Amino acid sequence: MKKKLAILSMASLVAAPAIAEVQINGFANLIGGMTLDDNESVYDYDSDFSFDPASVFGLQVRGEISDKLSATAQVVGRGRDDYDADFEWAYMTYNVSNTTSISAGRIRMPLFKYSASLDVGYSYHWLTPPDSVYGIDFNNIDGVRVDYSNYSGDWEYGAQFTTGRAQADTTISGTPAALTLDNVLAVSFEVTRDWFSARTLLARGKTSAENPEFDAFVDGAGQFGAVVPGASALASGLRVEEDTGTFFEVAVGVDKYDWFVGAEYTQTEVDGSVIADNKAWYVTAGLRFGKFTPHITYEVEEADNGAQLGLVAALPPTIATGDAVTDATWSGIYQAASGIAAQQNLDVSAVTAGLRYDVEPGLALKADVTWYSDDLNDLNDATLLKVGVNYTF
Amino acid sequence: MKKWILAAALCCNMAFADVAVVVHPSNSDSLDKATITRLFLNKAKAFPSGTQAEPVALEEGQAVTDEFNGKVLNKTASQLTAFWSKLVFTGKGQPPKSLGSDAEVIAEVASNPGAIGFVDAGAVNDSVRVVATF
Repeated sequence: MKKKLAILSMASLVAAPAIAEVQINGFANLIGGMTLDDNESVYDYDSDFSFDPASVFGLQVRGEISDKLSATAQVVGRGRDDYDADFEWAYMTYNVSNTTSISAGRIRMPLFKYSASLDVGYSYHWLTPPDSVYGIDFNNIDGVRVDYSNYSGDWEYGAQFTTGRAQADTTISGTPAALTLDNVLAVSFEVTRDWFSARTLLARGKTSAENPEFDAFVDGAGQFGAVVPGASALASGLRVEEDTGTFFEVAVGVDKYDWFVGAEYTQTEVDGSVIADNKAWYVTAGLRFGKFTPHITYEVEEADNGAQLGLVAALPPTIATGDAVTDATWSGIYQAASGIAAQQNLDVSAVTAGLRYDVEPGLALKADVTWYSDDLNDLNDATLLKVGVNYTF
Repeated sequence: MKKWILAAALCCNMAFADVAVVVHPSNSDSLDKATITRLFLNKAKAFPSGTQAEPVALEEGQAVTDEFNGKVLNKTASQLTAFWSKLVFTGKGQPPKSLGSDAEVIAEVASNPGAIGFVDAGAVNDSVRVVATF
């Protein structure tokens, strides 16, 4: 606390005179992990102990411009980006009333139950939230969010409306791609009563992903539209360009202090694209014995490539145009399309057992073991050990 | 025997101290535990009368603070830190400002019509009004 006050007074020295009060908060998650077998890798970890995949440090500065208006910036450095500091959030919030506020700028998209505090490992029991559900390429959006919260009797409830544009790095059939979500609209609702909580979110947006290699392949397939029935459909059915993406999420939790259980489910669809329909969920439970919180989680992620396989099934594997080069080119495209469609299938699950130890308020030590299982290819199975420190001030 | 009681009282005085929730004398709201909890957890920002509330806490590590956190807010110090970290890092709220002693809390509450604080019940004086004791 003293440290905080000292930093506060330092901050107030450098703060612009117009800002009445400046708060500085920070968090640190130093997480190291390794798989337990030489040829295993999962979630960017392999058998060499590494801090890079999940470690993250952040500093947040918030200035109160007036009773109603504040400005917040959060600088975050991630191990996987070589700790390059990046402004992940930069927004202004206007408190319209005691129940409603509007934030504009670069803000966190409230996609999941733990979205708001995703980078603050101290706020949850795991070292990292279940990857099946939380392993999404983007969490922030440039736009506007309206937050409403109120209570009635013993019920507390809230709603959020978010709109804007998100950009992120993703991968398409194994190579890097630039993902853009335009015209994003999201609504979420949450209720809490004593030990019970529930929330849900529905979002949609125009999804585009640029990947030169993949786009060239799709263009090539499209050129056969005149000769091969189904080739045009394949091209438009795989290309990720202004396709409508929908995302649905629901979570419930019971926290009786001595024990807690929770579950979250997500469903992602990007119509008419190579991105397969994705369903993911987890259930988690834990006990609190004083400073110790042992916990266990089971998670599943499945992607259904039925639509993509359907596009390929409508195509002839070979054609006979009389031109050998054309025929061979088509065979190549067909082979590649079959491969890409097949790759989109996913069926993985994982069990994580972990222990959290609360050293003092703001500081926790954790260890997790994850048994990852790929039901389509046993060779991808892995056992991952992670240890880490979560700190917040 | 008396000595023993005195010794027991001394050693465990802090642990068994009652917590008094205090407001400015001009504040005539009656507040139940749920309302007090909401005010201290940023879930309600005004008193039932409509006056904006400014909660004031005692610093962590004091017996009365633990008592208040446990009995009223139903949270341990660690849980409360986790709770606030969620709000702080989403811009939804900041924890109440915390002061170092009962006397400072009483002085703050006595001078601010919108303030609400908690102190050791034994430290209360006429400059503030007690709305609840736990």
